[in-house]
Amino acid sequence: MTSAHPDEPVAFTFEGRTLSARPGQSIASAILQSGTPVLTRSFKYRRPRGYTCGYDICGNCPVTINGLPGVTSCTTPVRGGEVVRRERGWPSTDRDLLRATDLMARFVPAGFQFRLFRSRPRLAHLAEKVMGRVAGAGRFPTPQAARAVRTRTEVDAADVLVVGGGISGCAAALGAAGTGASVTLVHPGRLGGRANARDSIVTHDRETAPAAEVAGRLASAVLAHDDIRVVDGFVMSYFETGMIPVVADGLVLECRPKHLVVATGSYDVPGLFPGNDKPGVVLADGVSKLLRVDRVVPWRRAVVMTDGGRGRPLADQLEQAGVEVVAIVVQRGAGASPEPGPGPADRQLDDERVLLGTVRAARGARVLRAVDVEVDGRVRTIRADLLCVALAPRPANDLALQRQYVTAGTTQTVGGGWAGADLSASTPGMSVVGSAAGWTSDDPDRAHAVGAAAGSGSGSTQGK
Amino acid sequence: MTLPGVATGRPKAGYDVVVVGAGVQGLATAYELARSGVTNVAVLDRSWPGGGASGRNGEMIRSAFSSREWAQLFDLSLRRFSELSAELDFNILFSPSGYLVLSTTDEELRRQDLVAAKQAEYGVQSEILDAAEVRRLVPHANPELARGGIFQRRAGFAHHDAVVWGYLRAAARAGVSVFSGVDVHAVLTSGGRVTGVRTDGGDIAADIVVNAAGAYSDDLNLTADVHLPLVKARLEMIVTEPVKPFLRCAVATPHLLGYCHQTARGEFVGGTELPGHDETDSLNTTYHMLRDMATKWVRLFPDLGGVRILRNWAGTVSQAPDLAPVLGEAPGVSGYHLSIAWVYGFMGAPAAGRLLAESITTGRVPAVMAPFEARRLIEGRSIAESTLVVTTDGRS
Repeated sequence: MTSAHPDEPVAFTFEGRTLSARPGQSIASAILQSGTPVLTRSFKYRRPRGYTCGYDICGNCPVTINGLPGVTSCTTPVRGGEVVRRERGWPSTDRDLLRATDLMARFVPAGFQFRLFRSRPRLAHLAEKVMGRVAGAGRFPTPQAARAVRTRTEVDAADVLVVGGGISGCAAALGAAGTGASVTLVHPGRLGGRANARDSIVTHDRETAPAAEVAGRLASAVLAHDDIRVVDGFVMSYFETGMIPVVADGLVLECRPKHLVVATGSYDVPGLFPGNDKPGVVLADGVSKLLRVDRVVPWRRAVVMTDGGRGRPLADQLEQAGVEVVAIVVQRGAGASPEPGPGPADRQLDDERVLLGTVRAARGARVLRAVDVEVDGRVRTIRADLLCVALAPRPANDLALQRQYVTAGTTQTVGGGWAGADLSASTPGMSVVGSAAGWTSDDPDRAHAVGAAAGSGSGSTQGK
Repeated sequence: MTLPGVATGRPKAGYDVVVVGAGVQGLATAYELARSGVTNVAVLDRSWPGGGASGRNGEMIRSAFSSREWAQLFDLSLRRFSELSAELDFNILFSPSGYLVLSTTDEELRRQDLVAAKQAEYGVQSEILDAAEVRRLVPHANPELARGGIFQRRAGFAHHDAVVWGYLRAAARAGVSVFSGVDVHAVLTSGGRVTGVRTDGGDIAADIVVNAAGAYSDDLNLTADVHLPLVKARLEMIVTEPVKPFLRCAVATPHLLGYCHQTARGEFVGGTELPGHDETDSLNTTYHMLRDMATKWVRLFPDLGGVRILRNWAGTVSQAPDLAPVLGEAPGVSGYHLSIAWVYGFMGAPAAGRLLAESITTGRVPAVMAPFEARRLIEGRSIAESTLVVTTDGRS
């Protein structure tokens, strides 16, 4: 399986073709590189879906790998020798006859099944059987694949559990471990997370450096630390009694830490416009990751859409990779939050690529061919094969909110207990750091201090 | 926020009937009352319709039980389920795909002939399956566990939310007022008669009050000085990612304390229980149950080992020592009717709604409903049903 030379290309099989990839690059990036932009189809309307978020958030890239269906291809590294297939679509994912459902969408609106054949029970039952055949997204795993999934459980006794190994999570873990506390750090994939692909400037220990560099330094320190156990996995949930199961490869770690540090970062938000699900519409960090981590450049002409300061850095990354950026559309209120408005970095009107306007639609029959942009009441159609959506991100604070919800107790109390919770301050047993807490820029020194407080508060300050 | 079928504005000062709880029991009862001409009915719920156990259950339906009482009550329900889509003008996605009660132990195998014979005596058609027949019906089941079973061909499952929505819409169309966000604090009585309910928005007068408050029904009983030996319990289920159809019928395994089916969308939906009830009204799910469910279902269907759990949920019920429902007028408080202690509540609602409405409007208790009266619990009688997938304590 493992190659003697870590950078020597390895091969895997994709629907009968042999594709070559660098070991460690994502399956999705290798498929994209081979010229296949459609990775799956949407559940009901069978709309083509492709690489979108890069971080196992959007669900647009599941494939079957070695008989196991539903594997996220954007975060699964190529190891060599895999057999990969796409899942939905008949006769193929590229040309799906059931795409007709989308064209007849007004006849099958949400909840149409509750109106169907209601006075004809036999017909209703038959229709349900047919729908079951047509729907039923994934395939059942092959017996061999199912039996290969074996999970053992293990109790993890660490004092502090840090969830998320980006800049903030690594810094917090080092802070906690520095107090003598035992620390488990959970992170899916390579430590550093989204920072590994970013060019923003971060101040750490009174020095400034690009985010990717700071992330790399912190990750090395974490991996070298004896009292930090690094687990490649993710947290399942927060349960009553403080149980936080961590899912890793073939392993569930049952954690009940004295202190939980949530460093789960942020989500890219999609823009709201027709066609925003088309292959070729890619979220900002997904673009950065493909260019910088997977080192694949499957695009030629890009439009960047932004509501803040993220447009220009993304345009620069694309230009450096040889992609022509034909427009940076700066629009107000495009994301989930109306604030912040266009930032100074994107308002440089001397740059002729900058358009103060609104993305109206992503066009293309199967994949993105052009973007409709409205400027001063006039719609222009700009040819592009990438629309990079670089809107203000949303805190990935699900785990923190879930803890608030679960500890608030019953249905009688949750209403007032968690929804308005202030996650930026530490509560007994939990701290939230970094963009998960709404921090607008990376601040490893502050995260380190929060981690240190968590470590000394967890009680195990005696040396080991 | 307004919901379709839910009344806007405040309740009136009085109704002929006030139903507490807009779950499937309360809505079915209100709908059946309206159908028999009683339309000055209010259904009060502190949350949204179907927000409790009505939307948090295995949505499975059968009438092949081992006792006459259960078999007859649920056979009426099963018949109603097959009529409901047409009657409510709403496809509840009733799927008569069959219901298999799996025999996995020697004792269950030995007993299955006897149970099926009894079912035939009650007029419930069922088939006895041997190991080979079970394997043909459920090819993915672990052969070590799938040793036999009793199969009821016309049973199956329905969409639990659709049943709630269908009843809600039909009841509202027939003139029933359903209120969301009205919290009933107490049942008001005077001289052994019910006079109304006390809500957070004031008192509402009614000569008939129906307690269909699910997990909170016992709390409501205490305000009317009705004391029944009920306990709250939390039940949990898992839902997997959708996969192509692999499981045709509903399956219950009394030995594993599990019940499951696959939806038309492809999700495997399964619940299990552990001996001893989880006495709480919390809707949080728990890790130990998630682990129990994952372990048991992979044991029964080894290929599920490669399928991901998408979500899980908890629902709460209030249950009686014999796990049978309590149906009918409360002892000592005339006009106060109970449709409570449901553990198989979704399955039983169409029958219970009809029977309770009949007893309210005619004053006569239908024979099928009579065994489930509350008095049995006070007098220490219990209904013995041996094919349930629940336990009350560690004894089983």
